Amino acid sequence: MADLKVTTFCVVTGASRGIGKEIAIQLAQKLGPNSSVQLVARNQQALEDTADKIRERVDGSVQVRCVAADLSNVESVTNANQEIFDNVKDISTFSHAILVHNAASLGDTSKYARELDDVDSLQKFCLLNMSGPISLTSAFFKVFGHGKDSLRKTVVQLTSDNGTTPYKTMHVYCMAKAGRDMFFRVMALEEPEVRILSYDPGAVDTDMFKQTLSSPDKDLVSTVGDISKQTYFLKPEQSAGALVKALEEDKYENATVVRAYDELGMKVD
Amino acid sequence: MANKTTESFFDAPAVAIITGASRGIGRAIAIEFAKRFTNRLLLVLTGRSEKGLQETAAKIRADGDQGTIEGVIEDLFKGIAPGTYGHALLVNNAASSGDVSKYVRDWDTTAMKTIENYLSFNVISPLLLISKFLSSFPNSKLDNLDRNSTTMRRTIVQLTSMSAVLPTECMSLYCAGKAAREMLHNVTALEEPGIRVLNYAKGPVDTAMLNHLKENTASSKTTELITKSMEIAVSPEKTASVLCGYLKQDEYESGSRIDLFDIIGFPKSE
Repeated sequence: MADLKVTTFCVVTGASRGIGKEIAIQLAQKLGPNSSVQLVARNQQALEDTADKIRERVDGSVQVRCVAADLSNVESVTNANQEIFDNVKDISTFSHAILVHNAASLGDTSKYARELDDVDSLQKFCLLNMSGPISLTSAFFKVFGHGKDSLRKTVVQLTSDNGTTPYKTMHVYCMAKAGRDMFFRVMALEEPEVRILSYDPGAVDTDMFKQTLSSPDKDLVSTVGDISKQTYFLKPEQSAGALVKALEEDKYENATVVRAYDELGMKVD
Repeated sequence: MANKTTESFFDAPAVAIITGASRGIGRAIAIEFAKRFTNRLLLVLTGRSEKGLQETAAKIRADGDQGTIEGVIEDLFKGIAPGTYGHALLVNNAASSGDVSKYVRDWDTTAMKTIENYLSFNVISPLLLISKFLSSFPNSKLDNLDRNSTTMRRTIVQLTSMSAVLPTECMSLYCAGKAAREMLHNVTALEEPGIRVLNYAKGPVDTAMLNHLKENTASSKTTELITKSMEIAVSPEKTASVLCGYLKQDEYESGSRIDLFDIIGFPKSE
């Protein structure tokens, strides 16, 4: 079991809605006094809403900061990577540092790979889903990496079965998940003291899920439509709850995919 | 499933686009293709070194394969009349190792641009090439886009490595890039049932990259791994030849991955 009730520095990207919002709200409540939570996303107002919900539920000593940034814009990401850690004056005040890579996008699922030609949107996609999180991870280790042994570090990255199974019209999404999953497997080797949780949230009722319905691939659309009627179509709070549970239980193998369904004891292929 | 046509893999008039052809494996594949294709062959070679590309072209011409080569051009897809070829090939070979001299925690603050450039070259470029290739050589002639027609053979080969499946210290970008590329080609194979897509893990090859990795890696575990690889490394010509033999047999499942040593057997230790 991991004791989350310690002074923690926590970052959650994509905390403005969907799974990220729920992760931020639920995780923040588990943290100890004087913790500092950084919420990162594009929509300032939505972030403030998440922040308010957290403040209603946590001890007054827990600080919540909103870092509004367009994570598909290079300048924004570069600035955000610094701003996120602006508040860290002395890392010894923290016992635990957690980085949650949740922000993601699907890419253009209305097209097949042969129709992809918009270089600009492909670069933005890579930035949001791959290079941004990679560079943020590096920045995280720069700040907390060389702390004394008692400073625990945890990196969570939201993945999907799309990282191992190809789907039509999910080209760049599958590609990014496969790349990220491997990146964090290398991180697990480079940083054996760090806990790395690759978390598959399951099929969750979010805007992103709805977007898959725009695919011209009839099989995908019918599968997706099917899923939305099942009991294993999760609400964001359920999926986030399972993630927090996994963090508390602390039994997961670094960078090996942990599925929400397994945490929830649901039998789903 | 094999795409059994009456014509052998190397017999139709063909156009082959090969990236990273200015040296190493890309060059070896270009040369091997020139040897093996029996009919008209248009080789479209790309690479970062103009000089290297010219040398590749010169080697091909010097080997006396002049008769089968129409030209070597650097402007991809320009002026290629798709209707005149029976087989179009794309070899996504170009790749870079990334900075292996540092652990991720030691990357400097300008890492953002470096990571972006890395993914641009190793992941986005191959993706755009696939897209351009597929739209330039549509399945059937002109308007009739019947995706299951076998009017023209199309083959996409992606040069990959063990690093796509074996995480290695100080090679995070290389491993991530390879994993991403393989998945991209897997999705392509799924979307395009009329195309043959192969992820070819080239094995350890005696090239500048392998030497560079050994000299520069910050991880002793990785140095050990590379040293072992170098002991059983093959020449670029060898891996190119094995690839071509495998392509010719044409029995692989589209989207699958095959490793050099799966084909020729793992070398026995002395």
